[in-house]
Amino acid sequence: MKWLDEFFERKTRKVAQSASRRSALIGIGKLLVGSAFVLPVLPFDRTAQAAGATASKKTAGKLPTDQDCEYWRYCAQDGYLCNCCGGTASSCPPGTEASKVSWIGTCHNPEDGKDYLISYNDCCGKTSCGRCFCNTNEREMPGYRMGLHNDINWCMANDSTMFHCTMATVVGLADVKS
Amino acid sequence: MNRLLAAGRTGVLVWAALLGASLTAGAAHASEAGKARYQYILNCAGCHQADGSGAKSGGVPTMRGQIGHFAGIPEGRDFLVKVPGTSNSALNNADIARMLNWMLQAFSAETLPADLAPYTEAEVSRLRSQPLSDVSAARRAIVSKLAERGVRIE
Repeated sequence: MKWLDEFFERKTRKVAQSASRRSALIGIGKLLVGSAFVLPVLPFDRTAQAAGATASKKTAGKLPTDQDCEYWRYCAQDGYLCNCCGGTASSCPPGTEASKVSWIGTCHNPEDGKDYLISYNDCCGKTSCGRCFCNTNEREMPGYRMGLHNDINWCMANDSTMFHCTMATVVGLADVKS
Repeated sequence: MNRLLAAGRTGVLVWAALLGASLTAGAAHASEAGKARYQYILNCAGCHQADGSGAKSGGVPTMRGQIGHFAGIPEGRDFLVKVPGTSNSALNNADIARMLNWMLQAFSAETLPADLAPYTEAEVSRLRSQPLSDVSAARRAIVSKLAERGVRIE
């Protein structure tokens, strides 16, 4: 293979002697700029891929369950999901008691396209559950709008004010708009 | 929780009965009642409960079988609008008038005075501009006046 090495050495030296380095750089530059229009360059638009991923998630039956913060009924949630703490989205874990007062919001159910009134009641009487913290707070307002502010321990009206987790109970259909 | 669910169910029955009665009176009325009910649940039921039974341990008295008595005397009628939960709410005057009229029927129909005039938007507007300086004292005065008439307020 020595002849091949010698052949390329001779050719390269000839090019180096006859062509300027500046022309070589210009050539490389043209190649890079030209290829940018043909080959994909960053930043890629990944929206199409993301949409595909969501679709495949749905078809795979992996919609958010009521143990996921993304579940529709948790749109105005603030607290640990009782579903992860030994209870359900509408019943308290054993040894705790539902708060007597609550925060009420509306959430859109994508499955039937309807809006529902959701009551966010805390379960009281045991220390924080610590699992599945979910803080979506849709349409929450700061403390100066107390009725629309949910950073409140709803256990305040119970015998034991210890907060354990928060439920999201459907209390009605929001069939009439305000 | 059981108590809460039970209260919820009673509430549903009350609305069903009320909506049923309204439907016979006309579709427009039913939607008015539906709107009042919706706004009540969204803005008030967190503390007062869907059926108006309140949360006694939390200092939220029941309205069931009670607020009709309030509507029977002038200062009581005014109080239902002036009380902070009503007057400080995000609802407008027309919504409050509609909601109070619905609440009186839904929670305390048997105690309503025979000559009850419904709340109007103008009345709510006037009363909201006259806030109570001492809510508890105003309530106590109403409760004792009703007691003189033999009406017991819880």
